[in-house]
Amino acid sequence: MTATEPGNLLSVCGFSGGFKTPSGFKYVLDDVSFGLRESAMTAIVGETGSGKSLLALSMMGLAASTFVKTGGSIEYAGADISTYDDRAYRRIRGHDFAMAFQDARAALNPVISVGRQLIDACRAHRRVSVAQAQEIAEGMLRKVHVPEPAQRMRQFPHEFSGGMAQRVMLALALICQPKLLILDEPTTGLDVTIQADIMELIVDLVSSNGMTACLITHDLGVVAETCDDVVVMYRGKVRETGPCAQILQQPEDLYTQQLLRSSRFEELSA
Amino acid sequence: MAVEISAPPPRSLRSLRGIAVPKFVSVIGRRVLAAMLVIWGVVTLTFLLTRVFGGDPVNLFAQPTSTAADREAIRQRLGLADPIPVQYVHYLRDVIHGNLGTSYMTFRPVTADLLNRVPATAELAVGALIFGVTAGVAVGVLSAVFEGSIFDRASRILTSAGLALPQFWVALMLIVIFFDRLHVLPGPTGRLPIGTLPPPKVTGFYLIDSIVTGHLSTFWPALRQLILPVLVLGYGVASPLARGARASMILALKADYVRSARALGLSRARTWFVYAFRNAMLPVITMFAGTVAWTFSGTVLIEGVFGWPGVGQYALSSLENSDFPAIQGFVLYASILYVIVYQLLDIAYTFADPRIRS
Amino acid sequence: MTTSLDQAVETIIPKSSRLSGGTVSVRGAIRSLRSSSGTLPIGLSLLAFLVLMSLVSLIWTPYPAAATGTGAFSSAPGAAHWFGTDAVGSDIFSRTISAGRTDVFYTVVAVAISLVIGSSWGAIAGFFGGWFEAVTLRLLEVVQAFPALLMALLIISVLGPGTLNVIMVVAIIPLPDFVRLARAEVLTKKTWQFAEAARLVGNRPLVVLFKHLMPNSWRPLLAYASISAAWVCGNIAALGFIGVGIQPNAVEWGSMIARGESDVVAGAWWEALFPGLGVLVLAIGCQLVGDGIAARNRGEQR
Repeated sequence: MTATEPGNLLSVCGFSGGFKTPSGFKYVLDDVSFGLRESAMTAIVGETGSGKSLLALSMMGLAASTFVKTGGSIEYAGADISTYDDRAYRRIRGHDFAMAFQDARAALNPVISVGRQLIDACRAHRRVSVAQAQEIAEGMLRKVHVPEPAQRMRQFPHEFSGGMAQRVMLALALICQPKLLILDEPTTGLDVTIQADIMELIVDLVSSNGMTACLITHDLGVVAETCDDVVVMYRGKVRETGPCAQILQQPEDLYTQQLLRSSRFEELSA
Repeated sequence: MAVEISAPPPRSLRSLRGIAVPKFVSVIGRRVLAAMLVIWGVVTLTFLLTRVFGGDPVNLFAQPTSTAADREAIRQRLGLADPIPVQYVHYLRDVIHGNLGTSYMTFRPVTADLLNRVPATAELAVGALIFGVTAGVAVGVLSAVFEGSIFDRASRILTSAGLALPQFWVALMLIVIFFDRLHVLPGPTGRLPIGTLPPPKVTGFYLIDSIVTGHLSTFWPALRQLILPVLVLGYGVASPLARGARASMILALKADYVRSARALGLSRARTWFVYAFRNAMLPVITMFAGTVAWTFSGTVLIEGVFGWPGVGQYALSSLENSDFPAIQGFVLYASILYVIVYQLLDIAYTFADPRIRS
Repeated sequence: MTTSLDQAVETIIPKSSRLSGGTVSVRGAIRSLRSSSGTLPIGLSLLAFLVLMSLVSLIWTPYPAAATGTGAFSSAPGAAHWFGTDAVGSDIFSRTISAGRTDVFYTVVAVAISLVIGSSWGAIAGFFGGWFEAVTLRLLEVVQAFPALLMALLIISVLGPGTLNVIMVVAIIPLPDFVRLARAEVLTKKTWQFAEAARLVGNRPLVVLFKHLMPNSWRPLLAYASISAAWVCGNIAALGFIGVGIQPNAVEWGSMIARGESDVVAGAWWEALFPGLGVLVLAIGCQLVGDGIAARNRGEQR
């Protein structure tokens, strides 16, 4: 649909793939096509099992080794990155793309201090000394509103609350100023008030840097408030894509309508 | 062999009978107390086993023509005439003073005999542990990183074999191959070839002493004598460690935090050998205690085969001769050493895992 | 081209762990054995081979196993003596296959004793808790403070050599691990619904423990029993080698190696190779079986 349209930072074109199982090959993504508009926040919504997380991981080249691509491409900077090997991907990851995961405390290394992890991420892509990286790291923590950053740098992930850990993960993802930020259900599992804070922070960071963002979620309320474009997925297929307002108020696809209805979205937004 | 980690240390200042005591003193105090309790249990168990169930050692000293009075005299001299509880108290008192009795065979104090032989076993055990731990962890980690490769499959076969192979048999077979057939390594004549004199004693470690005292000519022969026993013992140490390290590393490599490391574009080396490795090593550290215990048993067998004049051989000969004080002394020494090592490893674990520290 | 995505997702999303029923069907076990690949069949074949060999030795050996002077002393393997002879002229082939009886039998008995006593003890400790459990845990700590072989040596030195003593001593070594394992199993399953149900129906506690809880725990216990069998047979051989085994000059692999030790160093490799291979095959067989069972347990609960 939006194959290699200009104005897209990244385009997914007819991407398909699945897993080899003892009883044959099972498709999990089927002919997925959409684009991520530059400097816009695109939401990918769907129920559990729609394949949205797998899609995000595929964009980063982090899908499980048992996942096999059967067709299509992922276009970025004029190349099909779905064909990249790990070494090529390593140059992109962290530097061009970054990903924030759902369970922040599990995603952080429990035996290495938070500061160390930030410094490592920073120095992986920029030629800076340890001292400089430390300053940059502290600056990032301040940017994500972590109080007392200097002290926090020396602490370990288990000493952070869920919301704080999510902020740390955002700092980690953004420390090398990537062009694309993918967020996989960043607020699921957090308290409602914290959720709002985190989303506000994300929108703030993304818009102030002109970043492209891709938000994976099943929470339509968040989508309505923050996103520019929406991609609706169901069982590995894209059902509908379009601007946020259009999708949420005048959905054409039956499944999208069903989704909106069952999430009582219409009632809430009326 | 399962090893349990002790409870996390208390959070606040503890008061010992109303006096505030800094946290780490009470932590160390608890550890020492726990260790002493275990050692006391071992001492008691050893005593019960030998005095209550053991044969009557009087027969070792008495002659067929001895009268009942003679036997009674011998019993008195050996301290076996008193009722068991009294003997127990005497035994405890002796042990606390470092007196482990007098050997029935050598008539020398057991403590002195043991201490004499410790350097020989230590040189062997330390060499085997260094070799075994390094090789085991390296092989395990690399097997996990290159899971499914030929290296992985070969190492899995080798480590499985290492767990199943009887050590003394491997030792004998290697002696046949390398000494008998290929003539590249010396035979099982102990710490030095026959006719070579040991260097003057500084530490008791021939390798160190030969360098420190300038008797460099004994360094190479001593080293050559060490190769096979260290190899065999080290192989036994490495095998379970390699398997544990591999399993642990495979799990770590699948963890979320490794996925994050990859997502951030960290180099492969750093992802594997720092981010995954530091987590994978935590369960392996708990295995070390069992490894050390195993090394004790191993030295008994290996010293026998290689004619190594260490504590293990002492244990063997005292067993053969029913030399009870020597046996008791040896078991006690081994248990105390093991308990100390276990506590040290436990402390090391708390440093390695920040989640336990707080 | 697209197949049912529901099934696709089903296979990717892990299945919840299944509880096996109370009864264990032999036919079901054999059926699942045949379909499994990997280490289990290899291990079982090795063990079957050893058992077969031992049974053969019951009816026939080229020479009487205990006989001395059946040929030249320390002669290399040849037509008359397939595995050669040892220092006193005994035929090594006959002794090796006969020793299989001893080692395999002792291993099985020792592991069985350890399994039954250890599991029962651990199950009771875990189920009832209280002072019994506390004392059990302390005892385990003290016993496990001894390096295994040393403890065995100590006990044997006190009790003296002999069949019963060896089996008992070698059974004590893995006992603490069975206690811990059984206790852990019971602790996790104690609060599950089927245990509650069994209690509510009015069964006495011990009945609930042994008729309902334990039958569901036999898999990890069996896996561990196999793996510990590998160590047990190694320890039996080690005790025999040191000379505190069944009796000196017994027809047992460890003792055979001890007898040939000095000759082996002088070059008569056959005096130790074959008995050692016996121990090796037994240990590897047990290990593979144990690994295979453990892998299948994991596969079911994935």
